[in-house]
Amino acid sequence: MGVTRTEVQAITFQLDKEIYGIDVHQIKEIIKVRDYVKVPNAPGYVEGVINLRGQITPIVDLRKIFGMVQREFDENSRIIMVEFDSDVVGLIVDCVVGVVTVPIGEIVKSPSITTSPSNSFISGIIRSENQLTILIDVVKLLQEHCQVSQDGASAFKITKNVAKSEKPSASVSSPSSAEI
Amino acid sequence: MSNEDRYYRELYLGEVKEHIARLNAIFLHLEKNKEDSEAINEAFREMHTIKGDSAMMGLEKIADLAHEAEDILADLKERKRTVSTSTIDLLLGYVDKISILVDDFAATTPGSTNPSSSSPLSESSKPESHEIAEALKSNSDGFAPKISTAKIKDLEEAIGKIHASMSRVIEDEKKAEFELKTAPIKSEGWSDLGEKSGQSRTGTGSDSAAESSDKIAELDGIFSDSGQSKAGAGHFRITILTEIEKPLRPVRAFMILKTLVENGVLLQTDPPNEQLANGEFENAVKAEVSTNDIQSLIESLKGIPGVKELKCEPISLDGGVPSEKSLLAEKIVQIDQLVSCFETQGKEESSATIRADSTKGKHRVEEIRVNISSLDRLFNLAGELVLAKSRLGNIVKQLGSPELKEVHRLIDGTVSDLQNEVMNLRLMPIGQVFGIFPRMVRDMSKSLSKEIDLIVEGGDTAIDRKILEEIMDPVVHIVRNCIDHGIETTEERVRIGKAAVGTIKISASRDASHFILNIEDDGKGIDPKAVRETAVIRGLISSKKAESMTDEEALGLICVPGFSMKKEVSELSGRGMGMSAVKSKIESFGGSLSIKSEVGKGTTITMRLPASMATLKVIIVGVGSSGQLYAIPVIDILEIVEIKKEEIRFIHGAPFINLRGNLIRLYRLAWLLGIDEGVCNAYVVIIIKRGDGRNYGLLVSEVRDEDEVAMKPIPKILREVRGFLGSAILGDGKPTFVIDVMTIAKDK
Repeated sequence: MGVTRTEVQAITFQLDKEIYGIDVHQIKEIIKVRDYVKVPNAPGYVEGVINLRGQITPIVDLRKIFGMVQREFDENSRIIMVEFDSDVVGLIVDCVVGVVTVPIGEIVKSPSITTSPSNSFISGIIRSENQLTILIDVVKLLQEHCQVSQDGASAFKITKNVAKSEKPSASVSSPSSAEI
Repeated sequence: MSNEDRYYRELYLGEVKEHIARLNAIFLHLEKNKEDSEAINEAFREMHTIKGDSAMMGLEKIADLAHEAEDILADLKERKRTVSTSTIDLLLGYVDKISILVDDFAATTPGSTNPSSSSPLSESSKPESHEIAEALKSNSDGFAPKISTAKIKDLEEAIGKIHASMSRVIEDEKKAEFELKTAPIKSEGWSDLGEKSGQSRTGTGSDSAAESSDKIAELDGIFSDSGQSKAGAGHFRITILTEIEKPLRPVRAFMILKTLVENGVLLQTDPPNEQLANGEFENAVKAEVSTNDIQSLIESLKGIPGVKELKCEPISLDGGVPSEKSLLAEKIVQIDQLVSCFETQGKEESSATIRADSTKGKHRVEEIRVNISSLDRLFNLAGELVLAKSRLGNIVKQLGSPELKEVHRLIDGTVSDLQNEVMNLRLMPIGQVFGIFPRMVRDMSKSLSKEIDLIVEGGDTAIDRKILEEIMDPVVHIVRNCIDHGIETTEERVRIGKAAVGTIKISASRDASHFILNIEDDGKGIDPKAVRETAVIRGLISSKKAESMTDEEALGLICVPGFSMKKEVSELSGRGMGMSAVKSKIESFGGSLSIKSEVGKGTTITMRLPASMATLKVIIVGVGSSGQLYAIPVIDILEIVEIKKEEIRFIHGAPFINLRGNLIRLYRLAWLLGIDEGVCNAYVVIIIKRGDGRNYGLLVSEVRDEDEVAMKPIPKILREVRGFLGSAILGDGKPTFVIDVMTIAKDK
């Protein structure tokens, strides 16, 4: 923010036969697929949860979100950890291809893709010699697919915690404060 | 933004909120006990403190409001005015206005050292960058300067400037002396000195002398009072009797010292400067001061809050009056010291405030106000420690070394104790926040021409601060509903032969694992028939379904989104969060909500909430063919029985077991969770204890272990998943879910 970016750096990864990219700014880390625990009654795209350094982290199968055929995870499979709604969410991808740096001007923002609300998460397309990389905005993607109910902020913020508190009393208590 | 700055800001906010809460309580008390003069006195004191503190923070508007309210209270005190409902309204109005302004102040970014720049509250406080003259010039009535590090920095800079100017002045003077061979300047005032230098400049055209004169003029402006000899000049010993609460002592001491230094030359103090600035003094502060105007000094000192009494006696010093120049130099040194000791004091002070019992002479620390974020950090760290302890336990078991076991046992005990303590720190009695209700009930009932008594029971029942914070909106909503929809108007109540005054009772209690909150009114109750009809009209359920519902189920409909009995939105409720939002909020952290109502007699809404968000003793169970592990809170478990498949009986297709003559309904956990169970011949039944006596059994394939886990929230994208209290990490590092036994069987 603040400074206008002239180029975008993206991690590219493969899903089925297509190459996608996610802006590095949205990515926290990338890990290998590890044992995960299934979540009963969870929405279908949530593959399970893993323990990411003490944090219970849901992992989402991008193939499922994109409606692609399921496939077994293999040693190339990776989980791209992204931040979403102040939680970390992992996205399972077939394999990570690499990092690309593209001048912003070279990212094609095709109106035909961005107008459809169902894929407004596509933030642009990078054209290189022989392939297209679809840049996705993971926050929008997850917002669309995982409707997270926004918790309204409570009007009651308790701003103090008194370890040993006074006995609450509705009646008038003797003054404890000196007249100042 | 410095810590000191934040520290005073928080100190102010914390205290002023307490004063506001007390004032609310006092005024409500006064309304019922109109003759209680002690209450009036106390209100006066509270208001006075708000006034003083706000003025000190530069919040003039708040101070002005408090002053106006104080005037009313003074009239009450002197019986020029009597306590009436309208007076109470007026006073409560002041409290509200002050409260709003305080909230505004709290909402201003603490990042800006001077909140007044973004808030219209304190137009009188000065712009941030100010010259030494401004920093030091303070008049007796408006003790506007807020002690912030920015200010101290300014002061320091200014002092640096003075130092520089001073040394230059002295140097220049020496030069001028040398050049002009004039006699050393003795006790002339600065202006005279300036003139002389000016003369010397005209005489020689010396640039340095000109500069010197400028400097002198500059300094002269700063210490304008020091040059003129006035009536009341001389040396005095001032004894200042104070009555200052401990947290405010450093601030007040700073103000006292500043006033002394500004109005004269501070020769010595008892206790010494540094101790004073640290707030290390009791009631009396003695100071020896040389001043030109003792009257204005006394006046200024009187203006400092907490100063009770002043005694002043002239003293004679040997060696005559020191020259003005050395006076100035001394003064600079003093400011310098004052600033530096105040600074060190500020650095030493942590963000925690120590509240000491001010009524006793001793510094007996009764409680410590702790920053919430550090409490949360502590809580997380304790959680991590518990986790590490669990893992260590696993390793110890594998290695089987007795020495290691012994150490582990020790760590185990200590960590558990530590965690308990940390958890208790997070607990907060509900009474502390439920104090808002008497006022709310009074205001609302008045506007609806109802008379309502509010009873709060179990105010000292403690619950996790976070949960308390979360349930406040729901509780407010329910209480509003009680006032608005529940309790009838006084007229109506009299007509139907009920007590004229309605009652709302909020009672809190604890059982082993839960916090229970009952909100009860003796109003008209909710008619399940009307609820059914409304739900059908609103298209929420079919009329056929409505008929088949029990009354209890029908009452549950009021928590369905889109349900409202009111035809119009009233001012007081109807546009609130709605019962559906209340219910989902309560359930979002593992609580449950139930409604009981009897037409004509009243309604009771009961919330059951986990008492703490923290760790939990759990039994780890294996479920299903893949042996997935889940955690069940030990607190909810009555007993664990192993059974064979043949022991399960079916009554109307539902499984039961006969446990010592009692038939207990069974639920298969795998089925409840939608997991493939596989083939299983032997089961373990976990008998779940339920508050309402309807115990049931959860059928699992195995019981693995007992463990203690730190409860973690369920990731947000899984919030819709029901049946879990939270997530946790097991000793082997694998994630698991803690089953909410109260709701999981109910849903099916």
